[in-house]
Amino acid sequence: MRIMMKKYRHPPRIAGWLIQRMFPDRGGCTILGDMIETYRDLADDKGLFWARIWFWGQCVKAFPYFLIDELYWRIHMFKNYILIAMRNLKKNSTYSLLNIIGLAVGMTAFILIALYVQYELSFDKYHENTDRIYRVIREGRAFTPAPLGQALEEKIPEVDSVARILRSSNALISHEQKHFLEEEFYWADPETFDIFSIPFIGGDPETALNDPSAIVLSQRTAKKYFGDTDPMGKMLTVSERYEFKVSGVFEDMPANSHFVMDAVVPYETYFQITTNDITSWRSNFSYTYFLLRKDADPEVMENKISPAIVIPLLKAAGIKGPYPKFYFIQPLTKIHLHSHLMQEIEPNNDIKYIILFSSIAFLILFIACINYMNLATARSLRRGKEVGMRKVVGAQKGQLIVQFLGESVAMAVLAMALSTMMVLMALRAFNNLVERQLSLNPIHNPQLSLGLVFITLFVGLFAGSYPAMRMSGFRPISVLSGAFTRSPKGSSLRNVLVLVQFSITIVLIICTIAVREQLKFIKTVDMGYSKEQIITLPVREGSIRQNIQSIKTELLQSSDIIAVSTSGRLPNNIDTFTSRDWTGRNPDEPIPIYYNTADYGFIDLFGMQIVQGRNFSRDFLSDEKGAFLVNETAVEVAEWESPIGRKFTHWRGDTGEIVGVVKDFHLHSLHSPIAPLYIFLDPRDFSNIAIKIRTANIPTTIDYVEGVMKKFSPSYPFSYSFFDEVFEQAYSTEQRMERVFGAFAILAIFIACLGLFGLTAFAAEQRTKEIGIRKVLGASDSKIFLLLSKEFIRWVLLANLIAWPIAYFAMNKWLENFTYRIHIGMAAFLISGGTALLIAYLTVSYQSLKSARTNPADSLRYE
Amino acid sequence: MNTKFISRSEEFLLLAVWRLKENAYGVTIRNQIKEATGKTWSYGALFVMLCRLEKKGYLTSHFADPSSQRGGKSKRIFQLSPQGIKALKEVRKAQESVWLGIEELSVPQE
Repeated sequence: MRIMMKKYRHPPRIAGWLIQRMFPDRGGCTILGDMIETYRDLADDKGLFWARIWFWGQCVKAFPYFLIDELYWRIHMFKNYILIAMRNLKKNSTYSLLNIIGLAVGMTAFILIALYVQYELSFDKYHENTDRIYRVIREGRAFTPAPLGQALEEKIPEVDSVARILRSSNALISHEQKHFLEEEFYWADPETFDIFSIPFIGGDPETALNDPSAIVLSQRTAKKYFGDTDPMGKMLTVSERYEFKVSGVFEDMPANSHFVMDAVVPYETYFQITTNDITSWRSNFSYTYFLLRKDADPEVMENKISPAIVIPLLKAAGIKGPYPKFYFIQPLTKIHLHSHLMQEIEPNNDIKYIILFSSIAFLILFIACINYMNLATARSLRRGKEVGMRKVVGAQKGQLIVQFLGESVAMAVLAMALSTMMVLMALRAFNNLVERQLSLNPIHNPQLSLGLVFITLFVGLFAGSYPAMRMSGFRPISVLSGAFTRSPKGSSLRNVLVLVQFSITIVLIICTIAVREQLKFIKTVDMGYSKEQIITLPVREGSIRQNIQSIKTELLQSSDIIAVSTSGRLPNNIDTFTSRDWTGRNPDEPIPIYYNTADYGFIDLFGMQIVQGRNFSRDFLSDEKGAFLVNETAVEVAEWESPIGRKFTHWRGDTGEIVGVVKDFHLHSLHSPIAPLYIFLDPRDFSNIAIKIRTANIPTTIDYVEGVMKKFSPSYPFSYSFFDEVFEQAYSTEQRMERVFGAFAILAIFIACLGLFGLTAFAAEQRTKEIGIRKVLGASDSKIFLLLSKEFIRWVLLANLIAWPIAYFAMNKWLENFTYRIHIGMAAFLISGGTALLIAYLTVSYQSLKSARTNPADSLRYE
Repeated sequence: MNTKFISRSEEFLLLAVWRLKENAYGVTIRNQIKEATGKTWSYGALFVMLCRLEKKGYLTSHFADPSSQRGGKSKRIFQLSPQGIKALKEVRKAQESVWLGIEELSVPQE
């Protein structure tokens, strides 16, 4: 009976244990004691069963109170944290401002670059079948022959459908009195709208291009010609001769496409209205896209093209093997960043730049975080007393870490708010810089909003981690007893951080200088032809070609026009290309050679030199029948001892003699070496008119030229360019890179200086007493100044030593892109080192001077 | 006065402790409240409130010797602190002035 009694008097153990865990007052005993007392009364009154139920009920009911209580005290502590954080913000407003601005500037740079990178990576990804779309290319070239498309569809089972497109930039389209030159005019197979996802607003994408005289327009182009009226079924005239009927309107293609079409007409029509043969493998000027079958392996498919299509043709023509691989394929999504072929539709970007910009973004964010760490640790001593007090009244290390991390996250949130505003303000300038239309639109860009939240948290936690760990580790006794002063360990770490910051900054400055030097080199180097005082007109219309003699005569009547010349290509970029079996060479090994067609005045107008033989001349009647000039490289490659008088053949079959050798000039950009070239005398075959003008009265001269051109071709919009500007456009990527480097170098310097400023201020403040005593003992102002500055200056100097090899290596790598390049001189290094040092010095000296000048009476007073 | 008034349940608790004098611990306080207001509090709620009042300084407590009746656990005896008494006086004063002149509470006649 006694044993029974004892047993029933025990309340449920698990419930008891839970209560003890929830309310750990004296090991949870008091509340449990109270409950046991009531439990026993109840057991006596109502029975054991009800008592047990009651006990469990109490346990369950206690749970919400336990939770609320936990929260209550957390919030209580949190209020305190916020209070202290706000007080700190206010009390050290300069410091807080430095910190927040530093973080915000870093974040701004990061967000801007992230927007750009995100945009660049998004190219061509909006198509429904984007993973299955490929482009066929040749070795180093984007153009493929016209019959290839059909052959692919017939002979390669992995191909679902094929579309060929062909671009004619500057097509003249007219509707009634409206004439426009369409930049984005394409000839395309009907399958184009099947492969690419281009939504139609009017017309049927399936049938829109079936009629040979159909034209499909983008929405903005349709609006341009027809305003708000319905464009469907309306007529448009192309090149003043061919009538096309609007059979469809599609939504404007997104700008993040590697080609954007505004007007599309059927591909085959091109061959009907020109003399080109659609079945000829020599009609080599189209882009071929195809849709790969769902389960097919692209590599297997790529390897099938040559054996299935090209090799049988070669065998039939009697050409013996071994055959190289003729065609390659590239995924659509890789074109914008990874494809650098000749004949690209639009110049592509380069993944290298994307990686480079991303690294800059991370570096700047890193610098900003270092700044925070630096300033926060430097200031940690001030808060040593707070930490000591908190620990004395029972704060645990974990709680302190949470408190300080919380503070830095709050700082990061403030910085993010500020940086969002900065991004909005800087976006327009940045868009100009990178030549894109980016926008900060978190609602339509969930990835971005997530990214922003992530960056804020990351910056807050990363930047706050070191100060939090350090501060929470303070020992209350040493902090509170006052024995705790400058710790050498902390300051050495701060110095290392300054070192890292300035190294990065100096690298960026060196890169800016190197890119700028290379660009200056490009502008000033002797290209072998002159670029100044020349305007160029693109020629598209037949009427100009027919009347070129009268045009030339009329132009030359102006006293401001020195010379006029026509040519197939301008000398800065001769991309026309053929392969010749030259006399005297092994006929089985044709050598690739670039060619240009030109009139008598071409060489003189562009100031080129003839080193051997003579220029084209009207004095020699034989020139009229066929005459060639070759460049020095061609002579060298051909291994001719005496080129003059040799027979040569133009790609069309015209023959003639080589009359002279032109001095090598850069017929491509400085990225590539000078290639063999011949110039064929043909005043009738040209697509450019170059006009050498006097520098006086340029606007009147241009008006005069326009008048002459209008006379012969009334409907064509007049357009011209200055040749030196055309020349510089080839280096727009490099110019953009220079600007981006420059801008971000300035940002990096700014952030690093903010940090340095805060650090010196702190160091000066900490050493107030020391400085006071030194001055009392007779130290001069300049001595004190040196004392305070030299510490940081030393680290900046050291940063140079670290930065120089890194920058040298990186820039050398970049310069390898150029065949003709500068070698980075000592000057770039000295200048950047000097700049960094000077700026650091100025930053430091403000504080140092201030403390050096303080009256020791003031600085010692607080004792 | 810029500190807040104590809440109604805090008032009940403090008064219960005052009434119980030396014998104010969990079980008795709970019974006292039940007697006075007719409401049964759970021990969880009671304990949380008591601890909070103590942390705020209205109550003090000490531990009595363990007794076998409570499974060998000691009682926690609560006492009003001077601050607690002050807080009670304040609410009483406020209460009386708010209710002053109201004889009987009824819906006003049209």
